[in-house]
Amino acid sequence: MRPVPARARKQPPGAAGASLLILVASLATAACGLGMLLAALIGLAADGRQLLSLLLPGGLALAAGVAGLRLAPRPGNEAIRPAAGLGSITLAWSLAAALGALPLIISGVLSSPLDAYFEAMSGFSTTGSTLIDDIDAAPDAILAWRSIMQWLGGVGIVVLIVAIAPTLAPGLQRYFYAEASGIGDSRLTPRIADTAKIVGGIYLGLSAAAGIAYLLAGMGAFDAINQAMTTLATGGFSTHTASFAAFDSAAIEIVAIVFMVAAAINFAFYWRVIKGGSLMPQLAEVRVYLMILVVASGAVCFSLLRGNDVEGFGEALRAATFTVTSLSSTTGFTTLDFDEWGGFVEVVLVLLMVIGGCAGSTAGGIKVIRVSLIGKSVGQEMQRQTEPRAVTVLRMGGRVFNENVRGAVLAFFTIYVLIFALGVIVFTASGLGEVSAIGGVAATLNGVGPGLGEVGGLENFSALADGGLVMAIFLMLAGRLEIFTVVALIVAGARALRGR
Amino acid sequence: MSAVPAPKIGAGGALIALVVGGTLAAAGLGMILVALLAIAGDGEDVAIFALTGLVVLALGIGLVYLSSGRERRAAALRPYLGFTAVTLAWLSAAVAGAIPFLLTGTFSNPIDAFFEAMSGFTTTGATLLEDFNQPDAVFWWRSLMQYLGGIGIVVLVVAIAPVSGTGIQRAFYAEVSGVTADRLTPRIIDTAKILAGIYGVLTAIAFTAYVATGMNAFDGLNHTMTTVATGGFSTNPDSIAGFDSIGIEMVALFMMILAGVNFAFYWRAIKGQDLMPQLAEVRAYLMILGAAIVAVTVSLLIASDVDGFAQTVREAAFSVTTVMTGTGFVTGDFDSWNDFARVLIIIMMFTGACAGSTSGGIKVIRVSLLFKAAKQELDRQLQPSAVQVLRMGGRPFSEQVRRAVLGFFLLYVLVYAFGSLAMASTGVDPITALSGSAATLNIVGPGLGEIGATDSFTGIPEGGRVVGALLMLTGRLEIFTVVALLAPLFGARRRMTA
Repeated sequence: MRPVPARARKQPPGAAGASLLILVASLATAACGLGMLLAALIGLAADGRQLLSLLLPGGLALAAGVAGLRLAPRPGNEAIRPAAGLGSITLAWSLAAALGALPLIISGVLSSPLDAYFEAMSGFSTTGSTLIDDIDAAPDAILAWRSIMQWLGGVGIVVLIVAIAPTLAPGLQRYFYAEASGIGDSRLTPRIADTAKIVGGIYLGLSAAAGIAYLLAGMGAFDAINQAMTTLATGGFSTHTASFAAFDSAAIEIVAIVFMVAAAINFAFYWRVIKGGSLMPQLAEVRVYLMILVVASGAVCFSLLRGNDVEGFGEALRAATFTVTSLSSTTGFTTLDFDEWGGFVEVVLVLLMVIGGCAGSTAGGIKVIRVSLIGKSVGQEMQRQTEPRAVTVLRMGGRVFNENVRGAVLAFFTIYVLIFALGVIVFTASGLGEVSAIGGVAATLNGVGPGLGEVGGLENFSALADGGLVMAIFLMLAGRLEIFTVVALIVAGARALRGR
Repeated sequence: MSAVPAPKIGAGGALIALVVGGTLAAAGLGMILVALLAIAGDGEDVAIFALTGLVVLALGIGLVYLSSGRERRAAALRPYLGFTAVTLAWLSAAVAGAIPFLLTGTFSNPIDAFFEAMSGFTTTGATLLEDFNQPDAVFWWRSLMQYLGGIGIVVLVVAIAPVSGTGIQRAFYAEVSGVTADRLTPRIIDTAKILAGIYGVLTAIAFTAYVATGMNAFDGLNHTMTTVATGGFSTNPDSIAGFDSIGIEMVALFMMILAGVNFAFYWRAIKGQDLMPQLAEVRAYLMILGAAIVAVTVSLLIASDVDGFAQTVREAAFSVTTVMTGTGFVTGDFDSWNDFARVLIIIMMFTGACAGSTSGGIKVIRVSLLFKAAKQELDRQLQPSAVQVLRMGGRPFSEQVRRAVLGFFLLYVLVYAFGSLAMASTGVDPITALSGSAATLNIVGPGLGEIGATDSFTGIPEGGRVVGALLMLTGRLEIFTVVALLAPLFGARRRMTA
């Protein structure tokens, strides 16, 4: 272990931020490089096509990343300004997507750089929207790279939210709802590195379990490895154009359901279960999440039976449970075309996408705990209408949240809705119908993948013009980084441009 | 002479009886007025309106009598009671208003008649009327319901709410509309008279202008009433498009914009008082309106949805104005426009016009404060210790207002989501469900899809009509009023009595 250079203490103001940016960028580059080499390895074991398009950028990225990590100055003890923290996180995802696009372009799977960047961002943001028309025909190494991008994006966000954000700069905690997810107070373990290792271990363990379960349920080895990675990341990239319909196996779907739910649960919750610590407020969130799944599956199942959309109760239950779990965990695997299930189901599914999974998981969306706090806030606002002097305290699972949390959650919701509306406007301006636009925004902003209509479960995002693609990339990035991160950075940038 | 001993009702009951009684009396008087107007016209169905009017009037007077001589002052300050009274007032008006429709045979289904009457008193303008071959009295009654609903909401929001205790003040954004800080005049009755005067002046201007541009007296007066109420019921099956007159369109456009301005602003302008923060809201209102018209025009030109530049501007300006003010008159079929323009139309429904006007929606001042609050929250991310004050037009607002505005928006989105879900579950397609909820919750009228600009709400099944009627009521009474009645479900005690 190298000693911290002495010059770190004499850095000019802002240098800590700059070195943080370099460090994070190097880390992301190195991780991408390793991932590409791994994808090449998997490809070698499979059809062996297009290995060079991964080995070349992979080797370069790994070398550059490692060099950056070795040469970059370590941030000193001075406080890192919020803008620098936000900038480095946003840079990590943007840069990873840029690197991740290279193999797609070199292999010729996607010819336009913008398309490739969209696909890679969809990977690292664990969204799962795709522009590839014929996925079955793509080289295995490229398919493995798509899965690895999602897997890396998933572990990145979990480590960031559960381990790094709560202990980093106090300003940063706000973005990642550290207060709401409850990790800020009772950190898993005091050191970031230790927490990160534990969380990474849980993620890896669940991935391995998912892979084995898929194998046992009858999937081939290559499919199982890929599907396990994209399931745990709640990403939803599949190795088949038809997604899970290609397997047509109830056993595989059950495995997928179990692990999608597992991935959408707060990783801090698992840690607490293992350690025997207090489970609140995470347990309360998990309960609400499971309740939402059961109620929504029941409602969709009922609607399917009423509309005779599928044959028999068993099939209806299977289709409803899989689709509800897939969209609510923001994974985006599909078996049937839920576009044809009528207006009620469509509205339910969009609401599920918007709600998303638990905080501190790989799922996207507003998050169950925030939705719960929003619901409680609404109830209390109504109480204040009738009893203006009532003292209202925001609680969940017996834990009290301070008024800052209320303000942050309400403001989060407001900005979320504004961005959603902006997204719908831009999508319609770039050629989608309203239902497709609403479904498309819900699918990208919440990290789901497939939307409705022209961007529905059996389609891909090719219907979107280039302007819409840029917007979709923004929505995926902003949604993955809990919106505040990216939007606050834009505000800071605008202010810097105005010279304030 | 000894008075008949009135049944024992508490102060709370007295307040409700007074409010509902007053409302019914006004509705009854309105029906009698319709009967008189019908005598002057085709003379059909005079008896139905006269008799129903007398019965409703008698019922109203009876209720007012019940409440007389009781201490109502304390009761007025109990929020739950206030909400109940206001909600019951609109509900009872709609029930009473539905009766003539059933008796004349205009609608055979009570739910349809109730929907039409609720659409009237809430000044929405969504209609189930397909056969416009109706007696004059029916049209008079539709227009008059909107006219009464319009003055009712203005008086409630601008004159009554600010002096009615904290809860009701908050529900009607009294802090935000700025009437609380320096009330127009201290006494409700004086304020109400002034507002009625302004309403009357707008009515006179609109009527003169409509007649001058070629409407006959019948159409002119009907459209005048539904224009200043930003209601949108029309005597013509094709709405304003049926007149095919640029003059009439200009009058409607101009008067809708005027009716979308805060009535407290007019009062202040007349009295030469400080115009803030209303002036800031009016500026933002006109700016948003202008920007939306430009955006829609450009998109229509690009997509070539409408023939010719002049016609494009004409239809875009009219359509944006009619949905933003929550009126619902129609000239161009915006349902057939490109998707971008259609989405903008829906968004303008949500923006609404100014607070303290007859329009619906979230209201411009709330939208402005919402954007400011959102931006401040982002700033706070970058500078966690910064002190922030919410301001508009130079006027600072308290932290209560920030929380109330954010809470309002939250509730608005939730009610909209539930409304859409409920409407979708009655079997309509998603666009019809989403736009139908938007058109009713925001007090606009026409939506997209099966209930588009040139269609009526008959495309929505019965269950969806009930949902629509509830959304109209909820939206008209600024959400909180109606939703707060559910507060006991959330653990709040229902304090109806002293």
